[in-house]
Parts: sequence; C-alpha cells; structure tokens
Amino acid sequence: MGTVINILQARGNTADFVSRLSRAHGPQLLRYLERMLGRKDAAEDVAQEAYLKLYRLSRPNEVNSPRALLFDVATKLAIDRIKQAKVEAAAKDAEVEMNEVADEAPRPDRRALLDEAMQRLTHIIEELQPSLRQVFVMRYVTQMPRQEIADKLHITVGAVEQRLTRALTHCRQRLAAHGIDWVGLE
Amino acid sequence: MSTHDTGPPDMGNRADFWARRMADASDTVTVAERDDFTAWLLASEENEMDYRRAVGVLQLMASLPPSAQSALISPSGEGRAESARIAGRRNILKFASLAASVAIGLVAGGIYLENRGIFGESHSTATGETSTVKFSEGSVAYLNTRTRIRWLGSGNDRRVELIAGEALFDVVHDETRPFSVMMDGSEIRVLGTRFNVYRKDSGDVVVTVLEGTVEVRGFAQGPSQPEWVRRVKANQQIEYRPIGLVAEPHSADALRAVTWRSGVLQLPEEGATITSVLDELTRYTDKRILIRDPQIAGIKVGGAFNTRDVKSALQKLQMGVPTIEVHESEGLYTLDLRAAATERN
Repeated sequence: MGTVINILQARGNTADFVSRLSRAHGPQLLRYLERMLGRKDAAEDVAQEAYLKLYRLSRPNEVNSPRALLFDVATKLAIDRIKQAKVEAAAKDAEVEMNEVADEAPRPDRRALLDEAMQRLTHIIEELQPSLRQVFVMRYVTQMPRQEIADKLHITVGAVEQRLTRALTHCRQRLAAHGIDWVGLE
Repeated sequence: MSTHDTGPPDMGNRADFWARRMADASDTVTVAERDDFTAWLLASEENEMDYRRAVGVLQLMASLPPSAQSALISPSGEGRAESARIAGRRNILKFASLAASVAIGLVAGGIYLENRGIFGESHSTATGETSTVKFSEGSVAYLNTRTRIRWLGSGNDRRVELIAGEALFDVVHDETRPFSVMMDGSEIRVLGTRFNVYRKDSGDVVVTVLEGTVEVRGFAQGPSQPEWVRRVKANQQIEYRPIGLVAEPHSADALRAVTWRSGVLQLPEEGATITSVLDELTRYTDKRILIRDPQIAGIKVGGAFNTRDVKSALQKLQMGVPTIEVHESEGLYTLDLRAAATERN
C-alpha cells in the first residue's frame, strides 16, 4: 500500500514512555503497591515492571495508557509476586511458572473498552441510591476526606466506609452486567 | 475509626472492600490484615478477577473528565439537565458496546488482531503533542493532542478513519478520487478542501470547514443507508453525535476552531463555562483536573489560553476569576472556591 509517507513517533522510546507514566501516576501507584505487598522495594520493582510491561503491551500507535490499565497491569504483577512468594515458602525448589507470555503480539483494544467503561460509569453512579451516591461522589469525585464526609452527613466513618464499599460493588456489578470487562483480556 | 478490624458482616463485598483498603486508604495495613487479604485473594480465580475489576473502577473514578465531575457534583437542577444529556447518550453507548462486543468476539477467534495490519498505517499523538501526516496522494492531516487516525484507502478511494481526537485536513483536489473521513456512525466526504474534525471523548463530533464544501453523512444502521446528509460550506460548522444532529450547519468563526495549531484555546466572544474550558485543557495534560465546588462549574470566562502549558493556563484562569483558587499537587490540579478553601483549612 505504502500510502503514508511520514511515519511519526507515537508512544516514543521506552524511557520517554516510562517517565511519562511515572510522572503522571507514579506516587499513587507506588503507595498502592506498597500497601498490597507490604514492602517498598517490592512495590518499586513491580511498578517498574508494570511500566515496561505496559510499554510492550501497547500497540505502537497507542500513547495515552489509561490509568486503570496501568493499575491493572501492576495489580496482576503484584498478585503473581504474592503467589510466587507463597510457593517459594512452601517449596523452595519449585520453580513457578509465571504467565509471562510473549509480549510481541498485538493486543485487544482494552483502551476502547476503558473509554466506554468511563462513560457508562458516570451514568451508573447517577442511578445509585442517593445515600450511596452522595458519599461515593464526595469521596471519589471531590476527594473529600472520610472524616469530613462523616461530619457533614452526621454518620460514623465506619458507615461512610460501608457505603463506599457498597457503592463500589454496585458500580462494578453494573459494569459487568453491561458486558464491560477489561480484566483478563491478555 | 476502624471498620477494618470488625468481622466479615460489616465488610461488604470482599473484592470491593479490599480494593478500597489497598487503593484508597492511608492508614497502615497490618501484617495480619495483609495475610487475610492474601489468603482471600488466592482462594479463587474469581476473587482475583473481581479484585482487579474493583481496583479498575476506582482508577476510572480517578480519571473522570471535568464535565463528568461537574455533572456528578452539581445539585439537582443543573445535574438534571446534564443527566438528561447523558441519558441521551444511552443510544450512543448501545452502539459503542455493540461495536466493542463485536471486536471482542473476533479477538477470541484471533481474526481481529491478525487482520489489523492490512487496514493500513495508523498515526497518533500523545498528550500535548501535535503532528503532521502527509499522505502520498498529497493531502495532509495535522493532528492535535491525543489523536489517532488510520489510512483506510486503497486504489481509487482516499479514506481516513478518525479514531479519536482532532485533526485538520488539507485535501488535494481530485474529482476522480473523493476523500473521506470515516468515524463510527458518520462520514465526511470531500473533493478538495480544508476542514477540521474534532471527535470528542463524549462521542460528539464538530466539523468546521475553512475552505470548500464537505458533505457529512450520519449512519444509524451502516454506511449503505445514511440517516441524514448535510452540506457544510466554508466558514460553517456542524455538530452531531451518533444519535443525530446537535446543530444544523451554521456560520462560525472557522479560524477559531484551528487555533489549536498554534497551541491556543481561543474562547468565543460570548465566553464559555469553566467546565468547558477545563474539558478542553484536560486534553493537553496527563494530570487530572478536579473541581471541588459545584458553583465553579457554571462560571463564565473569556479570552485565550495556552494549551502547551496547562499550568500557566490555569494560573491565568485564577487571575481572571479571583474567587477561584488553583492548587497543584502530584498528578492533580484542584480548583476550589477561595472562600470554601479557606473554610476547609
């Protein structure tokens, strides 16, 4: 075909890609991984691995990896690490077969799916029952601290937590009911 | 307070509980707690998947664009108008999810990915980037931030798919080979002209013609049967979404639509709401822009903003509207009412 003359750099080289991701999401990702894994060094390892894996997973023309995708890749790697630690503890000589598949193949368009999930999510939140919707929006849209939400609504922080979890369950299940699932499409 | 040390009855769904515990809390996770978490997580594949989905939803919440944020935080009145707008999108979503499910279905069979290559080259830009693509027949596409296009033409036709974002097309005149820009549910046909297409994340499309005439066709069922067809002339603009027209072709300041090429967001003379300004600025930064007070959303502003430096654009906004305070923190710009911010601190 050869219709196109000018091939432009899209996702850039590895270093650019990684530094862009870590600038945008690095601190939050590290905090999350550290909580999940309980160790700072392990969290840093997994974050680095996640950036590189995302680089390999991305189609060459893909540049803006959504945050949800980065967190999912990192979560998967962290879970693998937890599994590995468990197996190593059980039997020191057992080599775990990590499902580290060859990453050269192009990937399904999880990005498009996440874009759709984002649009759908706004609508799902609007359908939430008011008591759940209110705390969910306060916490995850305006990022109000839990204590402040509790004070405003005259409920306990524990009640805030419960409502948040219930609202999240609802959102997750409604997305699934619409057939929107980006997890495990690897 | 600690809901965390109470037993299972208060935890709610474990996947969501643990996702929030890991991704949305700052107090210490104890060793015993992490052991519980790990045991639950590894107990079944389903637990693992649900946990990943829950973490995903939380991250989606952390990436909502300003218009979605203000729709959600605004009290009933405004919110209702916005939810009506969103309800109108249900049909769009129906199409989108149909398309997505078809794509996934094929992925399972390995056909979709295998065949992708033959559809031709694609080009894209990162956040804040612009780029120029020249096609061998002479036409040029200038890409704005976060844009993806793909050349679909072969032999006698010249077709480009605009997958996302915004592009200005400079089309070489050739009566024997019409040039068209394809999108899900619509097509723009031209012979030779200069026009800008902005495909918003919301699904809305704005076409602005600078020279010549284009024909825009909207499809409900498929390209064989256009649901509507409109001609748009130089210095006119049309706006539509997959379920139909938003605005008939009307005269517009066409040059204003392409000031992005010089890194400028030029607002119309009558001004624009802060929300719409933030929606535009969000396209040019990887940082999230957060509105903390619903009153901010409706404030109108005017002027021009530098899209190549979003931070300075926000500072300019703050200077123009003294009631607003802009804070920068990691991965985040926050807009608050000055009074409310003082009260909170």
